[in-house]
Amino acid sequence: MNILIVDDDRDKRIYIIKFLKELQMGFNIIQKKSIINGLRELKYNNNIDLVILDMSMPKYDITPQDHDGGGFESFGGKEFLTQMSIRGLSFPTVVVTQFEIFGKDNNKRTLNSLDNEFKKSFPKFYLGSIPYNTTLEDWKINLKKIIIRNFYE
Amino acid sequence: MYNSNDQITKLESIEGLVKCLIKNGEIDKASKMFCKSYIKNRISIHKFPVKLICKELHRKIRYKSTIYVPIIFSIYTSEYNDKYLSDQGYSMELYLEKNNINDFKCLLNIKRFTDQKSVEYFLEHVFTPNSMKGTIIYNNSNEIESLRISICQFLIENKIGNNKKLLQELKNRSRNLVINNANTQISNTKIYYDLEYIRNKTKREHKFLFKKYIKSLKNDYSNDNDEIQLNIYLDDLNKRIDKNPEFENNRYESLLDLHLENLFLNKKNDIFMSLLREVRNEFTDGLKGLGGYLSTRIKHGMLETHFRKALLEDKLIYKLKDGSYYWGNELYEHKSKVDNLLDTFSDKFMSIISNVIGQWLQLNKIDPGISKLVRSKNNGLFNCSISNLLSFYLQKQLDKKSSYDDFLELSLDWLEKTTDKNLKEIQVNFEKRLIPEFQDIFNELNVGLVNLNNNYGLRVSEISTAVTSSQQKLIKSIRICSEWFMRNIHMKKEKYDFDAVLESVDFSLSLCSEKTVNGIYPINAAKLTYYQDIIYMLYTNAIKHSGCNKDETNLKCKIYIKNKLIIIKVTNNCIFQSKIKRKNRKLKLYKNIYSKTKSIEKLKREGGTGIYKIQKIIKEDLGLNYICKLKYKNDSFFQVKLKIIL
Repeated sequence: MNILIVDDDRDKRIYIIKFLKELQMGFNIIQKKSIINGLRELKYNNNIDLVILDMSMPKYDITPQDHDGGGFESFGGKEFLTQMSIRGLSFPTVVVTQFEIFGKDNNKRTLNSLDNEFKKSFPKFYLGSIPYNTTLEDWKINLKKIIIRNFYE
Repeated sequence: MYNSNDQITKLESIEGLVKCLIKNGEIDKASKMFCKSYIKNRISIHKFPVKLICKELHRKIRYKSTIYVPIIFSIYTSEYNDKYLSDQGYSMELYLEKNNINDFKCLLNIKRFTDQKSVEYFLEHVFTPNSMKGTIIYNNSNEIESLRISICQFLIENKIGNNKKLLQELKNRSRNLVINNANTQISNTKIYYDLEYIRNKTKREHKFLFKKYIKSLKNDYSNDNDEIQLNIYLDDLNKRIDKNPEFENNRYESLLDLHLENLFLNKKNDIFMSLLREVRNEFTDGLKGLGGYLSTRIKHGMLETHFRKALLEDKLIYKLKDGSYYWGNELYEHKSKVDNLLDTFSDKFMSIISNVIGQWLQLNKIDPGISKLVRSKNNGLFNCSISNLLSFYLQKQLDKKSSYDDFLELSLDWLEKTTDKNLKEIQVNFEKRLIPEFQDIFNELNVGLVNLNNNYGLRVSEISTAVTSSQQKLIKSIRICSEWFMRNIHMKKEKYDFDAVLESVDFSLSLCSEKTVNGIYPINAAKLTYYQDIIYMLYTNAIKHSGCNKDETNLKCKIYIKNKLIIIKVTNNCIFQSKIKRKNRKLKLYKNIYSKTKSIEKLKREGGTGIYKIQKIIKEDLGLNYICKLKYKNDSFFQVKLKIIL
């Protein structure tokens, strides 16, 4: 099973990969650090079985020449899902995020409300969202549940 | 009706036609007709069912590759909202890809399916960074900005579109690109030393010592104990390196680790060791050595500001006028408890930064032979110490015929390679020690918040989001900062101006100063950082001594370039000052406070040394004369005036 992780947070990626390896289910893991590079991977790689997506991330990879990667997007995950939808890239996707609230001022959204919106907008491939916290184990249980329910049952 | 000379009748016929075409499922024809009409007469938009057209195009977007689709989505974005922004980018990508358009200039040659006016509109209004960012064609925002600049230039040159608007856009985008380049240039030159100056200075001062060393070679020291011992150890090390060639890269490190204790050096070895120390000291602590620039460009507030910036955006350590924390006030019912948590966090945060500046980034020159005799431990990661074996090894690379230049090049090569190793060591420590140290205090803060939630029902979701966001930003900042610790080998050839300098200082300090620049003075890339250092220190001094919060300090910088003079005036407000005349008399002392001998020590220190460093930069690094005036303009305004003579 091929899993694509799209997340700009290196430490979070490492934790997720460590957990996936612990499951010993023979996952092949690909990592991308920005919206555009994640989308490129999906466009040119048809063998992805699951996308683990962050919610807030930059447009492009952060490099010494591009320190903010074209701008950090609080709703980067939403844009990613929208682009997947219009491009017909219907790969099963789960959102794993550290934040409970996104955006600022009048544009503020909770993870719950975004989850509801995604369920309605992307029913073909959106599997759900998982709050991530390094100090808690819940995210591991939830991620495992989603993988088993969607790919092994 | 369509051919009518009456514009209203004609427009009504087009409107009717478009609606019919949509009903008949002929969305391509409808799109084309609407686009052409809109481009001719922009106010006609309200006549057309734009939302319906977009909805239809959205459904079938993957099968569309005409220029009209991205145009329509961009019209929707500019007239209504961002609902179809992703479609705008994707449809542009499809149009470019499916029509094999690799260069925007060839767009004007495509006349088969597209009318000239639509292509021109597309270039002017649709082929913008807004659309480009929605494609997966480009690799970064710099590439996008550069391409848009080329498009603007092309349109202006060919008198296409609104020239005045395009000129303004070109000016703004070029400006941003220059500032971006300037910031990169400044980041890449934080680690610096002037090798040419060091060469010339040591040549002047230590040549006589080298002659003494060459003279000493006439004597035979082969039976001296130190000579025998050092040879044995060196042979042993060489054999080990021969067996394991990969150790070659760590030769200097191994030589440093193998210091022979209590070894009395003969005259030859002693002179060579002294020579090496002199060059090392000039390299680390000299007027244009590593230590001074390290202090000015990284340790003097820069690193702290950079790290704090990551936390201030989410107001985590942001204090209000009354000294309490923003988040304490937001969660008012538990104010004192939240304030306490943030106080502890803030103290630990600052203590980590102090440790980095005060310990890690120190230059360690305590040679292994005397390190045990020195009480204060130096944890500096810039390890430039010299062991007797290292000195002996370097000595062996020279022979009787070697010149002082040979010695100097050998020593500088060792120092540069050692610096590279030290810089890598700092980067590793930032990743492996600094990030975990910060993560620990964030975890403690999180646990504290969870406890407050469990025990007192604190609403933690918003502050927890701020904590997580700050943590992520800080880690990114550390990794960006880690890139400062590289030696810049390739210097750009671009020229910059004072606007770029001022913008880059504003960016570093996250502020928005009032800036005026009159006159032009091209600054070459090699000198850019010096001017940035000057303005940066003037600003940080102003903020520090104003007695106001950073947010309340209004900074004005006026720069005039005329008659071979650069006049820099930085004015700031400050808390009420009494006895201004007396204070201004005292400030006259700073007029020309720089003197080579006195300043070297100050250059390596942080705190209360900004004005010395500024004067040193002008005098020594830029090689220019200056007049520096500091004064209170009145009881609530302070001004520094630098007159630099070109």
